[in-house]
Amino acid sequence: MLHENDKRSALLLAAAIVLAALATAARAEIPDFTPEQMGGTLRRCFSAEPQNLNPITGKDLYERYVNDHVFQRLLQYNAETGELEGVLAKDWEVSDDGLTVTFHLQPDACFSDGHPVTAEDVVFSYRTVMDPEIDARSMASYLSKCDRCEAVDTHTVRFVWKEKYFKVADSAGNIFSILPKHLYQKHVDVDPEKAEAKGVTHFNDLVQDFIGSGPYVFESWETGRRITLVRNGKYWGKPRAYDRITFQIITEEQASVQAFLSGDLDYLPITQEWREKLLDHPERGKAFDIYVYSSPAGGYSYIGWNHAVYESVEKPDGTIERVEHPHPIFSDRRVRRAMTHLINRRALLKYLYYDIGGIRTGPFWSQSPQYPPGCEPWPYDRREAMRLLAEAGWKDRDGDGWLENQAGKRFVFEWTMPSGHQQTMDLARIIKEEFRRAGIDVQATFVDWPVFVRTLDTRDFDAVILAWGGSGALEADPYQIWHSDAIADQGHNFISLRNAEADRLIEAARSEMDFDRRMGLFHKFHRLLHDLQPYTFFIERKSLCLVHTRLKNVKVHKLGMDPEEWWIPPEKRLQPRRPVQGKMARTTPRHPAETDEGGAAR
Amino acid sequence: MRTYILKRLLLMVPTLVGITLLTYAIVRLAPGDPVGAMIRMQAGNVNPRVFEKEADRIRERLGLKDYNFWGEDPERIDAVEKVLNAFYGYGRWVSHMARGDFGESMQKRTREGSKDPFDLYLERANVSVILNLIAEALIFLIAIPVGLMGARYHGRLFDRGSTVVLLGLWSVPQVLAGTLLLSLLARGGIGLEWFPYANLHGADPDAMGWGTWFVDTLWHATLPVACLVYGGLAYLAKLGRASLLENLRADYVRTARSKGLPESRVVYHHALRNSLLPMITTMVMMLPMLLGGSVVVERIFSLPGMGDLIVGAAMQRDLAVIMFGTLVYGTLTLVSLLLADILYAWADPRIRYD
Repeated sequence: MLHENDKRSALLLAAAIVLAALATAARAEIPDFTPEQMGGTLRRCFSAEPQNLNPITGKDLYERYVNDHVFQRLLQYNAETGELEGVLAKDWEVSDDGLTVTFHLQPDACFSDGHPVTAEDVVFSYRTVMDPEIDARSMASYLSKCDRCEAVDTHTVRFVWKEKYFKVADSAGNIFSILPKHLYQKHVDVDPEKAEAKGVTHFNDLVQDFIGSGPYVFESWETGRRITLVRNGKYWGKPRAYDRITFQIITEEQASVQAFLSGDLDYLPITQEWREKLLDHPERGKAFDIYVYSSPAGGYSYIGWNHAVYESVEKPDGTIERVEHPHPIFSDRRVRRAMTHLINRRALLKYLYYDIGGIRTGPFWSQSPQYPPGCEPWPYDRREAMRLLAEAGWKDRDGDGWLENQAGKRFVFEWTMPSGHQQTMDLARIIKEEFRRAGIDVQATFVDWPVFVRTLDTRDFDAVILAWGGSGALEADPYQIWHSDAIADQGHNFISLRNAEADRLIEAARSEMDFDRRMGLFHKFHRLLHDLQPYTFFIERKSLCLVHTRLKNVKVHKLGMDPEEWWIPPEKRLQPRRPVQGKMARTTPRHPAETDEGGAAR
Repeated sequence: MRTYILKRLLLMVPTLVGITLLTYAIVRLAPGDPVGAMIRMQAGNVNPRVFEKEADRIRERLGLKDYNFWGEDPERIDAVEKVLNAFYGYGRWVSHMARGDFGESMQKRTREGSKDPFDLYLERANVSVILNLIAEALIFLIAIPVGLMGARYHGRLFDRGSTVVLLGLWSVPQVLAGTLLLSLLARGGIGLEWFPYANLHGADPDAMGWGTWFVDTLWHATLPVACLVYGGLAYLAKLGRASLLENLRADYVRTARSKGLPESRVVYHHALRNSLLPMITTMVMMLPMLLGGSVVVERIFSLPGMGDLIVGAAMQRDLAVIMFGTLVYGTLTLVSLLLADILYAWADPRIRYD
């Protein structure tokens, strides 16, 4: 269960680097549907087409939304409790040394073609992900510390890890979907160069029509129009309510909202602007409801302060070495804190983001157990900011309204932003003005996304605005963003935070298998970053969506919403599709209840 | 005439080379790293450096790799080498194309899994072609009578009214018009809910009879076509009016009138034929412009057409798709220019090209 507006809000918040490449699967407790509750079609919507529907090589969220209904993993997160629970695995255990995870598979689990799910299939799926020929490097990198995966017997499979890691069960069981070996072995084995000659499509080139073990099976994909899933008649678990799930592709948000309001969609993630417009809609509460909820997948936006500047030095042998120096302005903790004090985040949240979301205080989600209780965001406080700046040596020494340091150098920095989004530009304008009033000169630079990425990689900036997407799990691993190992080689620590205490806490927490002790370490880490303010942590995003009232049992859980637990009463179901009768009749009843998809006249 | 056409066809080759070389060089030499950006988006939480080898392989396969012509360090490629690389890459693209290999898209695939730009465009061609043919036909059918009537009743109410309306239409940006049409006339909007809000066909187009299919397609195409038509319509009608007015002031028309010919014969027989000339040319030249101009319309009405593909490719710097698009639009433009000239000669016996 993921959040469709991730992609959209990613763009909104100035092209976020979306962490959701590893979006974990989470499901609510599926109720026991009575025969009466079963039937009908759930109609969802995408704002763009998935690149492909291959569960291993697919890289966009849309692929994940579709395949979450078609494929299953060994484990998933329970949406309500946020804890791992078995799906294809009946149960599992982690050895005392934390290095071996053993999964016992559900004996009656089977693929939609009737073949049972066995340990061989798990091993096959693992090997497919790890196969260097298969286009799944980012998925594989989550398993890089996994030594091997082996079948113990037909229904027991074991993953052995090279080092202790608090997410071993999660990584082994919740990263990749289980594919049937008997169907895909030949596609993986074939040499990509000779695939065409042999008449076997290489696995990388398979894009749709996959067979999984989930409650739905793939039915059709009409380019630019719609993807349809249909109930898996041989599903081994609790049956779901809908007979069909459709994903209509509507590129324009205006059109998708109209589709929803005319009753052709049941569930639609929306932006804050649209929520604002629909708040007073006469049908709200009658035909549809607006849900706003916080979930770990929401992610957060931030202003990143560069801690280092790099100098290229040519060595005697002709090679170039990049030498890291502390940043003349932002390597000082007091200056970074002052910057945070200068930004009125509450007001910006209220006036620019329609008061949807919260103020982030550090690396962890405010509702995660990793979050230290009582950690409050730094307030908007100009006086404190000026005090901190003066302490760090930045004062208006010559009375020209700009701050200077002891050497008489003016406080001026370049703020690099990805171009193309109005909200970011407004934000930048307001903050820039605030800084100017404090005597800080900001040069805002807007660049194209590929150029922006280059800027991050070369670390050639003073400050950037960006957002991180969330992983969807309650516990996040801070290593890739905050550890000093991630500074070199274009890692994600592009602000070059180098702090021994932070490194120590990350390492200790990652290898700590005891939950409470681990949370203690994470709390410390969060407080440390709150204190250091390597970023000015900005807005913790919320998810927004419209859900039609014909759907029953709609709930918001700790990890978000799950359409698979909803159902449609028989009288609210769609009429069977009728072709157009050749007349251009007025097509919809005002009440957006039971019309067919966009095109067909009734 | 035959020699002329042949000459023109031959001239097309250097023109196309110029167009494609320029496009190629711009895409290649623009700052930023498209493969890196793509991988960065896909890698999520993973250190992008892990993918450096993979990125290099992708660059090599897509012909995006920059080579060192002098020096050893791949990190240090100077500006001259960059330009040389662009030329080298272009040469490679041409030689591959000569063998029917158009390269592969960075991340787009057809439903069958093909990354070949040709297949990608083919998959989306029908939408663009249907839309633009209807739009083109409508523009022609409406613009000519409106323009001619405007000229014929020069200075009268119809002329002034139509001028105001046409100029008004011409100044409305397509994005605004599309959004207005969508919210005022499409289902789920705030006005009359007459038309669908997305796509070119209703449910199950394959199961429809052809009559039903035709009506259904027309019904779906109404708003997007309206959006495509209004600008071109205004332009062409104004052109027709101006052209006929000019002819009506010409000496031969005065002669015809003084001979005592009825006004209708003067206008429709003598002046009209001459006035049609610039309209024909403009009309033919509009075709590729329309195909390119439907990008906005395709986006607003969720139509999976070629414009959407090429814009997406430009945003991601998907070189193979951009280049194939350039080739297609370039060729179309050149062919329609030639066609316009041929039609010109056909419509005006005074024009001889040889």
